[in-house]
Amino acid sequence: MASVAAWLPFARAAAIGWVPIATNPLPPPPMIDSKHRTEDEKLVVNISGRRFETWQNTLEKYPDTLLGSNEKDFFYEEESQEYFFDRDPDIFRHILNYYRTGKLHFPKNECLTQYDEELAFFGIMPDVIGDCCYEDYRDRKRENAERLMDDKLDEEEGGDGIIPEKLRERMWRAFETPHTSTPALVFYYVTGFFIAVSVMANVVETVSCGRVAGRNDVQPCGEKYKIMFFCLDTACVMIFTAEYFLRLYAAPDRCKFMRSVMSVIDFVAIMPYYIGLGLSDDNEVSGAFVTLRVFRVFRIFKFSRHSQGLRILGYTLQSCASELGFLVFSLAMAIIIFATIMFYCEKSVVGSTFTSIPAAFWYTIVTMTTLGYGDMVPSTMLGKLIGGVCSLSGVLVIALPVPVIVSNFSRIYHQNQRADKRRAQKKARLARIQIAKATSGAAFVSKKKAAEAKMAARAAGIAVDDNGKEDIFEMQHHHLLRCLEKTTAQQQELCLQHQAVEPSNRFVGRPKFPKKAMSFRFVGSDGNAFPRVWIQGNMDGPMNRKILMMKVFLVLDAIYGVGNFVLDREFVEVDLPFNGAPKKLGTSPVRSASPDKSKVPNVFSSCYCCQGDPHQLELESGKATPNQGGNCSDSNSGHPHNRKINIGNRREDDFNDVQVRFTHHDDRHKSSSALQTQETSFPSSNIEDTSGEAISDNQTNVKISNL
Amino acid sequence: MQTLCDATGFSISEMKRIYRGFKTECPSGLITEEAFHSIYSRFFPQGAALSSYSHYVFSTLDRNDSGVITFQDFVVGLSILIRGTLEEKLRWTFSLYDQDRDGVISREEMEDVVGSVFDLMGRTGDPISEEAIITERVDQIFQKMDLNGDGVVSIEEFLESCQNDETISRSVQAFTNVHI
Repeated sequence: MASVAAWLPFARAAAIGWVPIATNPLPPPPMIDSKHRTEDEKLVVNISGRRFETWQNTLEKYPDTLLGSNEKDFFYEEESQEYFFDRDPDIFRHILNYYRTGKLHFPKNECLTQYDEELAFFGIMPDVIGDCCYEDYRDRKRENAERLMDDKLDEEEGGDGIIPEKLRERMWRAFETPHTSTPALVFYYVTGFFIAVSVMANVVETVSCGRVAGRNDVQPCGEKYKIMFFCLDTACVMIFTAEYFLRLYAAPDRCKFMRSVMSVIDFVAIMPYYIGLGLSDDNEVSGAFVTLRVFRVFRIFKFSRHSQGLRILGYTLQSCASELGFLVFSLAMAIIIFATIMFYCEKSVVGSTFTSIPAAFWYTIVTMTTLGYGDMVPSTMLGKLIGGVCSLSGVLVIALPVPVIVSNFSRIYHQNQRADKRRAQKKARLARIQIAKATSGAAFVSKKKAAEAKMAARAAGIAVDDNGKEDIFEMQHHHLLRCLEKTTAQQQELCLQHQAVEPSNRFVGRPKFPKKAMSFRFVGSDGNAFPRVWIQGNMDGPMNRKILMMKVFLVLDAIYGVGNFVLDREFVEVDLPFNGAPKKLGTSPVRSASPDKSKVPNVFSSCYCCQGDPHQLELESGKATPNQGGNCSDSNSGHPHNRKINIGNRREDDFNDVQVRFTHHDDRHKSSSALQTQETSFPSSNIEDTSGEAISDNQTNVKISNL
Repeated sequence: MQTLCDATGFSISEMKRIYRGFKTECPSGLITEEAFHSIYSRFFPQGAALSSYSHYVFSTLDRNDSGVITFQDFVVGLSILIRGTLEEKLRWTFSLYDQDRDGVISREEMEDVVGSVFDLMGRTGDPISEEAIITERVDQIFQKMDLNGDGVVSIEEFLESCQNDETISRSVQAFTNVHI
């Protein structure tokens, strides 16, 4: 702590008082060169534009922090002669105050994690936070940690996507979280219903149902409709027994399950029935039998599986055990004291009801809880006085622990509410975040493609208009990714993932919408065929199609490299006219082949006419179409056989249409693209359904096969 | 400020520095005894909690017994200790020892001060032997200084014996080049 530095000269000077005491000469002081003596200078610390000025020795007070040591020289700027840090100026204020006053304060309006980060950056340990703020800091840190732990537990529990394989696990999941599947929900409600029925039966069978013929006393319904109640009871118990054994079977840890509270309750609920079956209906044991029936009321606790509020109440009572204990203990003390006094006061009264001290207990309890039945009343003056004191103190003693219990309950209840709310919000939040990420991811990929296309163009000597400055960072980033692609290329199957933003149509059987898969076969400009590339995936929606096209090119790039075939520059998306209606054969109007210049959107749709038949579009390179899969011989269509797909020029950030140019067969227009696309609608036979498994929403499968 | 500088012999920049340090430590501008004590405990971690040395220094600085030290008192005291002549320093030391300001140091006063200086070191554990050491040391000093043998040391005796004593005058140099 270098704030003492200010006083050191004084302390040294005052030490002159020791001089007469010393028997030996004191050592000479250290010689200090004049160059050690630094004039006090001011430093400027620039935090994101806000300038702080301070004396140099203020900062040097704590040499093990960033600002106090030479580490700050890394941030020194010669031109402006200041230290520049790109951090939060508001929090830096507190940090600088630490240097000035020696106390680090924690502001209440700042976020804890942000504060921690700033402290870590400047090399200050949070433990030096002053006493005034330390408690607050610790509390908030603990809350944060708890919250994070809760979230993590939720994630682990939630485990979406993990479909338990085994029957046992599935059953357990169904039991514990009924809202996950329909049969579980059904089971849940059925058991709830039977619990209610059973409890109601217990209640109703004691109601009086009319007189017994020939006897004077009334008969409870349980006697009158004995068989019916017995049947009902049997049914309920069978259901409960079955449930208990199912749960036992499904439990991952059977011993732990058997010891848990709920299973004990279940057990206690069904045992009386079996014991009653075992006992014969003799009068001698009927007393015990009747007692057993009392235990049937425990069935009502089975409802706590169904009600969260009940569970919370249980937790509360558990957590307030000490307060409850205190309540009971103090009550017991007071009861004993008052009962004794009352007894001795009232003992002498003739005909008094206070026959013994335990008898007086009853009076005391009734008085302290302000019930006042009036079955025992004091008659002496002193007795009445004591009675008054007793009732007043009763009010106090009972009122004291109650707020503690209430606040505990409230806290636990709100925690639960918060946890549920967070879980519900989290899903929505994650979905939104993923959408945002997908957009930026897509933009990134497209930029990458654009940049590479430019590079290739330059390499090929084609002039390209250099619009827009290329960010060096991005260029290097793209290069890095390309290297990675090249490294990992030449795989037989690449799986790419993208986030589906629209609900997909599952690839089940024969879809209504063709164009679930596109296959691409690439032919080099010398006519060599490359393996066919199949792209399957979610093609609904412009976003997905965009992404799909990008992925196509990524794949191609990865496998073949840009140099192997030439692309025209920036591409635009394929604008496929999905309106969800299935196209019938031959009904779709064919767009006439456009002359090479005009932009023809929606051209793929014309291939619908070739539904069922792969339609081959070949390069306009003069080669005749090898008749694989057949030309489009559908004469209805009347469209030209050969199409050329040209990914036309367009501006970088304008993903609107893929220009697909179709030319006539005899149009010798040369194209520079070597892309031969073969679109199929599928019946699955045409497409190797990848391993038969359902394609999840966010998967695009790319398969390369040699055909 | 100029008068203060003239009175004490510090330069302007030194004065500024002293004042700034003073004000940072005591924003109110006045030092109380507790503050003084805590400062000393920062310098002498082992024993300053028990020692009353700070009390003696405090009362020496606080000439008018007001219970607080103003900046004036402080800087005047500091100037004596740092920039004063040997005689001035010795006088200051004498007033440190002479707590009741009666002009003479009695044996008890000497013992108190010596004991407090030893306390600064921190109690090593055996109070009896420490007492013995202290008493012996005080005897030594008295022997040296009490020239006329009247059981008390007056200011003249003190000055004379200290100036004549090699050890002492050399030791005084140990604290002289305190630079602000």
